[in-house]
Amino acid sequence: MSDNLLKGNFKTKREVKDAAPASVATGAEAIAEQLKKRALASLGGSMIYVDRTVLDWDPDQEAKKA
Amino acid sequence: MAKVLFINPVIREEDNPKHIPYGMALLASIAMSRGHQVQMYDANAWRKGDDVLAEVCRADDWDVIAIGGLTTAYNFIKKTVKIARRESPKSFIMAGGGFLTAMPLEIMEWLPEIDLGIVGEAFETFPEVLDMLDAGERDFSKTLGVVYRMGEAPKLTPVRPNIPDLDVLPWPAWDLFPLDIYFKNSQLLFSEEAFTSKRRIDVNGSLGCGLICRYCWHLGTTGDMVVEADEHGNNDVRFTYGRNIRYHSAAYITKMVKHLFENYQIDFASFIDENLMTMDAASGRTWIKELCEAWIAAGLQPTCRRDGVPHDETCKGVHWSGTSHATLHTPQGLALMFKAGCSHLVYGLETFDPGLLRDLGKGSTVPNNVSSVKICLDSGIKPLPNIIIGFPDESFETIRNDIKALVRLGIHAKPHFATPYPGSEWYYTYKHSIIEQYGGNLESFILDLGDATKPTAVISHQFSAVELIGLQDIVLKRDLRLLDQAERHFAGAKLNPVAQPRSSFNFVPKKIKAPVAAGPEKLLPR
Repeated sequence: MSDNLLKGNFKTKREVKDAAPASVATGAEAIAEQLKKRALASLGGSMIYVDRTVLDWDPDQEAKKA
Repeated sequence: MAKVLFINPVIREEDNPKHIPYGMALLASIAMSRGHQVQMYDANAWRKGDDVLAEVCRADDWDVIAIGGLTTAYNFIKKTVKIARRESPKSFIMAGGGFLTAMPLEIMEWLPEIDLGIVGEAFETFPEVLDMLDAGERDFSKTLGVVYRMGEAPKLTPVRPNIPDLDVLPWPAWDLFPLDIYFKNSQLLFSEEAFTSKRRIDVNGSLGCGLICRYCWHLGTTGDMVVEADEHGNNDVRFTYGRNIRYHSAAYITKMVKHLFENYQIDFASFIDENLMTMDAASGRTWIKELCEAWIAAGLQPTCRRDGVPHDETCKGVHWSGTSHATLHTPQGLALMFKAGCSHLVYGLETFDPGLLRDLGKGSTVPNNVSSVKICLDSGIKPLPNIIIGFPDESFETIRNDIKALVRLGIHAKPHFATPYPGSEWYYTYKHSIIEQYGGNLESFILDLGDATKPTAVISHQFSAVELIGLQDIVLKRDLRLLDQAERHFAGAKLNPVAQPRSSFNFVPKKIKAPVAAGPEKLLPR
């Protein structure tokens, strides 16, 4: 398979290369994104996914404000 | 000649890419036959990120960036036109397909990056607009079948007549798509033959359908659309029961499939026609017969069917599948189809409740639905009976009728939810309820639409999404005990309906036939 992601009847000024296979995540962000996608697609029973990395919910503070 | 970049949007992100976009592949082929310079970026096949999309938009000085697809591709299209405008500001951005035709004025308002939209059938309109751009013309007020901008305001021109003869169309430009990706996803779980397919491709034999199912839409490709002025004098689309039934000749289809067999070694052809049987009925029962005979004469008949043996991996030839209809199929037709290699047929049975079926506009009855499963099984072809819940008049009793029939027929189904897709009669009938359900924001509904496996806008008068999700599971489990319990629980409850019907300018429930061009068309190279 050609590694040019564009296919057509003429040569473009710049080629767009297939740098990495689409199914293989590279880099922490991409891996996290792929894991999230697959985990969310498998939710059910004990398959649970937590989407937060930082949690700023402080019920005590909110209660004080209220 | 125009330098055109097509972008095929990502659709059904949760699934592997399985379908080459037939319409876009045809338009690319038409553009190339007219001498234009064409490139395709198949975002749905490649599934790359926004950086790659931006790189694609910068890869050349595109005169035109063209995008289109079904309403369910709206999310991706919205993002793409913004990237395209940012990365290639001088390009003329064109859009078309179902997402735009169903609601051209709203789409042009929501996506200000689009310069021009093609409304309805694009076979003639798209090359005409390319020619105009080549000639430096920017006044589209006389061009049929477009929505363009006059200042910022979108203006819709009169409807583009359907072409009378589909056989003038070139074959789709398959070579512009990463076929290896699609072939890798050939396998379908619908029949043994589809399950063992290694090189499957979609083909289309017809456009349109004579039926008037109220949840379905045709978006101008079947003579169902006219353009008329609304009460403010602004042109808008109106969908009707009018129909222009058109199908390819058996010779066109088999020549194309033979080409795919010899050049791409395909082993399976999925017919994406709306309904093969409505075409057969419209032809006076000649179309399927001619198609099957031509299929066998062209040497496409699978060897397992020729030799009368079970299908296995040694089978050679091209199996195929399509859509059928419980009332319009015939044992004779199915027998021929089996002989020619048909492996499975999708039947939109939808429901086994007589009242709901009567209101669907599908032309089927409970006895027809029940017997269709047997008739299809007897032919050797696997039936795939689709079921839907959440119709306007859905009730515990209609669900009970579904479950009882599913048990007796041995059908396991997790039903779809009745969904008011833009362009369907029920979209317009319930548009005000849809807007209400999405907090006054119609675009939120469009962004939320998927493949009807989850509830979006509810059109059921008795049930909300909460009940429908439970009922879907009860139908999946075929559990009449839980259904009875739920019915007792809700008995006597005073509920506020989520959806209520209203009439709309955009849907005319009568036959108003859209125009057909006098022909002959000029789609072939000039």
